[in-house]
Amino acid sequence: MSRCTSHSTTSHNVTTNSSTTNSSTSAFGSRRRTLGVAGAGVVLAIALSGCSTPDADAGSASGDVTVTFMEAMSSGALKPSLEAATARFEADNPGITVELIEQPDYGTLFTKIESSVAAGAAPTIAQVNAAWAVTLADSDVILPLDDRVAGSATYDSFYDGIKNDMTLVDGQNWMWPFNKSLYVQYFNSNLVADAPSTWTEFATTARDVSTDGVVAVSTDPGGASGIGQGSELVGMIAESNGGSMFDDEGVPTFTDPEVISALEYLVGLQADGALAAGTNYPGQQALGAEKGAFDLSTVASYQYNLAAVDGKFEMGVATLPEGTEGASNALSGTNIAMFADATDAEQDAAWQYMEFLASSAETAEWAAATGYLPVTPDAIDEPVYADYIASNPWVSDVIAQLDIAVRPTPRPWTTDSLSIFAAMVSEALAGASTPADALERAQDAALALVK
Amino acid sequence: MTVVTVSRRRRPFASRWAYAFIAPAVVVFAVFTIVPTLATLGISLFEWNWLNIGQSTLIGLDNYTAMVSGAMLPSFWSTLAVTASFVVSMVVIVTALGLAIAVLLRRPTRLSMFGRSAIFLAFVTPQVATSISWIWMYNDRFGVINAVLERLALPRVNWLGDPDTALLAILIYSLWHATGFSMMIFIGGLASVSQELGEAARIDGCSHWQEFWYITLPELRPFVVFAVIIATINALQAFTQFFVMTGGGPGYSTATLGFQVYQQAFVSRNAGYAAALAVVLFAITAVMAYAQQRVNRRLDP
Repeated sequence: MSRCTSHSTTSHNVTTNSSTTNSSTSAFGSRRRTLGVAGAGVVLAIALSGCSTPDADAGSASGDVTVTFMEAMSSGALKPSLEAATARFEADNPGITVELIEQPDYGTLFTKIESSVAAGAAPTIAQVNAAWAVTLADSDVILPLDDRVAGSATYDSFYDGIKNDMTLVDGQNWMWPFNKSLYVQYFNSNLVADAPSTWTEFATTARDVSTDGVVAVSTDPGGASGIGQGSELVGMIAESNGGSMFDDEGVPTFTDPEVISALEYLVGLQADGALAAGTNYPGQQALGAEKGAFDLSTVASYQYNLAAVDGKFEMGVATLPEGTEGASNALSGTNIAMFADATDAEQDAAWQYMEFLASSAETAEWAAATGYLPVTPDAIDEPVYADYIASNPWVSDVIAQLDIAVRPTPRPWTTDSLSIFAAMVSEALAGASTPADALERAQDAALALVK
Repeated sequence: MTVVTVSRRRRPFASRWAYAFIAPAVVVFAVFTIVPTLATLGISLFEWNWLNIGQSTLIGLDNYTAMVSGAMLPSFWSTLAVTASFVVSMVVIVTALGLAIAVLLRRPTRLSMFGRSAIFLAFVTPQVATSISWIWMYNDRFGVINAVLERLALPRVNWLGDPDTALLAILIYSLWHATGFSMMIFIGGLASVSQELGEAARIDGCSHWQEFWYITLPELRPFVVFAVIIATINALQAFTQFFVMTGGGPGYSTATLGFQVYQQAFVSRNAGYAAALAVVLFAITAVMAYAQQRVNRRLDP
């Protein structure tokens, strides 16, 4: 900032001096000089335009603190819910202002986080997922929260899956929970009377209902740009049957027999006309158009699926089917990380805000309004969430899975490995290679990334 | 009689005001083109951490070695092959189609003006918006194109979900989007072609085809070269439609070099490797533009 101020002063002096000197010259010469100064002014204005950002100092003379929160809660009920929670926090904490820096989607959010950090203007806190946190922690731009977590009154009450999701491979807590979700099966009650409880039963039901233009389930496997729900599904089916996509050291195990078997399961459904691969929430599209019987996606889709169905039929919701080894689910959503550039006052204020959002009352309000899951079982006793569960009894079964939900502890190569995995799943579902061959290639490429 | 000797030698700083007036453009060009280009060249020699530059490591030509070895998935060579097939198809078809439509609509009648506007309109629409529209048109189950195919008793095609058709689908969209621009270049060119030569040829008994081939086309050669160069550069740099419509898939069947630059820089966070890919893409673009200009000069009578 000081460099920019200095330039502004120089610019002002140049103009003043030129005006003074020109007073004794001819009219022609004066016009030329005026034009010249104007030209130089244009150059300086352009050069300085990048320095015109407002003062980023979050504190003020009165001791008030501003917390900047970069987030992507921009659609549907998410935006008003977060704004309302923030307003309640500010009312309870008059000295703290929380500035929500909203981004349209997660991809843009991480790009903005990175560019802000690179420009030396990181927010105080931001929504992050575990894979991003690895990059940010390795680059020393976010702070471990262990000391603050140790003194937290709410941490102990969190579900086990939520607690595990706050840590990275070093065992430290780098994140604080925010919007968490799990996979469920949404289904058309006109086509499916009772939700299948096992993956075997699911396959039978899916094949049975796939007639007259209905394809039971549509899913987006993702690809090179990132893993999609279809590829996550492969992992969850494999794990429910005792397989795993990563070993204890985080090394990819994509050729695990159960992973291959899970992909063969999906390819088999596709071959029988019971599964279609697509993009742009294909399960939601098909369910809403009454051309699909199931949508296997997270609870975060609940409000959107209701809107897609639009009262045409009763939409059922149930936990995912189980495998031979029981239930498996992938914890989705994001956490909040705190940036190292923030001042002590900003960090303290941000921590108050983070704890506020995770309190039983606020997580209950948030979950009831958005469909995300509460991070603590205490929320179930809050009246607003008790009412929500009474209207949506399936939620209780889903919440119970928060204690068993897992995600692979991310390593530097995890995200890229999963993108490769997703690209190969999409290739197998496109019929370009067999599941075994596709996963063999994915495994080889992913192993090359392991350091 | 006084002889005035005028020096023809130019003095580089003869007019300081001239430099002052071009300075804004030079500054903008330097800040947004020259400096980033040089920075990219530098970053390609590092294992770059843009979140904490202090953690970046100088690794020399390792990024280039990794690229040429083809060890990454997708390999540099496979992305180059996808890029080459897209670029060649685009340049040939967009040039031929643009020229054909321009010849068809060269007369300024109301109908041809409407036709020109309709075709050019696609070029001025935002690519993200039209790419999303085309995704819906291509939709395997609910798309209008498959609905038409079904009405014609033809099999449905999984346009964007089948590795055999995904690149073709993007090519069709890209042609729809880009043909209007090349058409306008050729319409401008046709307006400058001498009418007398054509009339003389017709009097001498030339057919319409002979007139086009031996009179009009040679006159249009500078415009053809310009259109080819622009189409080549645009096709090499094509990104939006690949990003929005397929994300490089299914598998890596539509992963072009340009898409991989984005993928490595902003998804895999391998900024150094992405910079190396960008340098190679820049070199290929420059070499092709230079070669096309050389060919044009050689053909010049």
